[in-house]
Amino acid sequence: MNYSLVKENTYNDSMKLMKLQNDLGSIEGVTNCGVAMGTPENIKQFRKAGLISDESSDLEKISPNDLWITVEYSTTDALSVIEEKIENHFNRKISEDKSEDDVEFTPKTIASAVRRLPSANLAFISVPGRYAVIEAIEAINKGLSVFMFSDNVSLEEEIKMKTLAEKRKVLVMGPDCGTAIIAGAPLGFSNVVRRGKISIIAASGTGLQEICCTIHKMGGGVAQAIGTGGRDLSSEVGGKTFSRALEALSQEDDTEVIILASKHADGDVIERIVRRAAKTKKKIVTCFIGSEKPVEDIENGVFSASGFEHAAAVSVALSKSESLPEPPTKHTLQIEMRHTIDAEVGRFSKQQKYVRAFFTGGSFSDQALQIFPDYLESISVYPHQDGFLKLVDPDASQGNCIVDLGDDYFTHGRLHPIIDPSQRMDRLKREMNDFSIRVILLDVMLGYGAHPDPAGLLAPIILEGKKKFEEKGQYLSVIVNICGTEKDVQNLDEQKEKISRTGAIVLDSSRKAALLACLIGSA
Amino acid sequence: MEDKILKLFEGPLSIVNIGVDELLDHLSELNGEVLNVDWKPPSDDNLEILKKVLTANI
Repeated sequence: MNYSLVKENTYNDSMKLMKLQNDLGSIEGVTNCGVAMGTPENIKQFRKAGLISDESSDLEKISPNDLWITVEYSTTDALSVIEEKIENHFNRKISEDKSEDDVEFTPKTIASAVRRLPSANLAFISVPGRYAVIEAIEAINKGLSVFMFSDNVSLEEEIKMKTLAEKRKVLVMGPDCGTAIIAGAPLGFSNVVRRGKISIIAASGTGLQEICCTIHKMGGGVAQAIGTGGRDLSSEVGGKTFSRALEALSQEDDTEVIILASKHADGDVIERIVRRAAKTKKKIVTCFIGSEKPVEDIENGVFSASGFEHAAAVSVALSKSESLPEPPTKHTLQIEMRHTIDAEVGRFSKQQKYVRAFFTGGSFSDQALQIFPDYLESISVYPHQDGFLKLVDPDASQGNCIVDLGDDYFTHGRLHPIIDPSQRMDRLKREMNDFSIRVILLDVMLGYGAHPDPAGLLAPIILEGKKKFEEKGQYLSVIVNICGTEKDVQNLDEQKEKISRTGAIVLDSSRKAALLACLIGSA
Repeated sequence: MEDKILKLFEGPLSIVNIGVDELLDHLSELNGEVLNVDWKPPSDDNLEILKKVLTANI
């Protein structure tokens, strides 16, 4: 039996939609449900989940601003509970904490918000991407800097926002900016780290998180961690946010070392940024994943690093005037993890060939792309990059494969996989029916904004997968890179323990995890 | 020239939050200043015109 409801012109943000969906899914007798705004991407997802057919009459009238609820249930008792939950969701009472006055004067626009909060200096924007530029321009014109968590924003709109921000002398972090720490305040996905003398500018969300966590682990501290959005160092955007952030940090007394980090970036833009950085009086560490050669100018205090962990290590050493550490290599890792590698390698069957990586962000994907080709062949990548095979269907892996599940394709109309791991869990369940796999490589991100217990959700799937392979006389190797600190809300030690108990290998470095996956996968 | 950004870096942050309220709940716990906006999307019929008008002089 099916219950379907379309509420016209009713906007709910992704978190509220997820909460309602979870509430409906927990009703006894409910077998499947979907709650989403009526965008074409969500309709496609509903079709894939078997929640709608082409003949559904709701399809004719639904628009992207309509909220669509569809529930499949198997018992007649479930219907009244479904209706009650939905009614309660939309008739949510004012909480005891809020007076009627608070609700009455809740601002509905940035303009009215700034009148209510004249000290406002930052707009945090997480509305659906197609509306984000409108809010950003209003905020910039009011003199606010912008942190844009929203993705699915066009390149043209990004250039417009950042050009306007230059004129108004404010900063635009984003779009698709996952993380920042500004004035000690964690924004978006971010970890609890010590304050200190190292600042980071990064076109790389999960990369920025790993750098911050590693700095903290090594005894250093973070002054500012500025996310710029993944396209800032493209030729089109030209490093607008990078440049503004660098100028400001060069004048900031608390900052002694600046890390410049990015996944794929334009060579000319990098060169311009680094030339400018060399003129500051700060020590500079560069970490440009995918750059053809190390970007450094040691005479002028610019040092290059190999990977996020190494960038953090070099910056901590510079901040303490210590000698600079070497990056981890295949050889150092083989020595360090010899027993682990030997224990994994001897257990595969002949039909097992492939390494598959499923990341929650592009930074770890790009880092893996620099490492995989030295060990593996015929690598498919989503989103596609030159020099690699294209995944015909992003939802179905082939051969050796790296998939960034944080890409716009997977997050359109859905929560980011760091917040809601369910999409990756569904993907993993499918993958674990493919007995040609040797190694699955994953990342788990902790901190603010992340799921409260990602390891708790992942562990049973890993266990089930390993059991399936064992029943076939085969072995599935699973490697998990956990990024977080001991001060994060998820309890780092507990998260590591939950994954370790499944027999998966747990590391705290994305580069080491990618190297290990290759060493085990190619042996 | 960089006063506004340097002041941002000095803190404290005073944030107008447009979108998902829960993303900044932790800042309220840390005594940060966050004002949530009760945002609703504009009509899709007007969206492209609105964008053109806003970005015309940039």
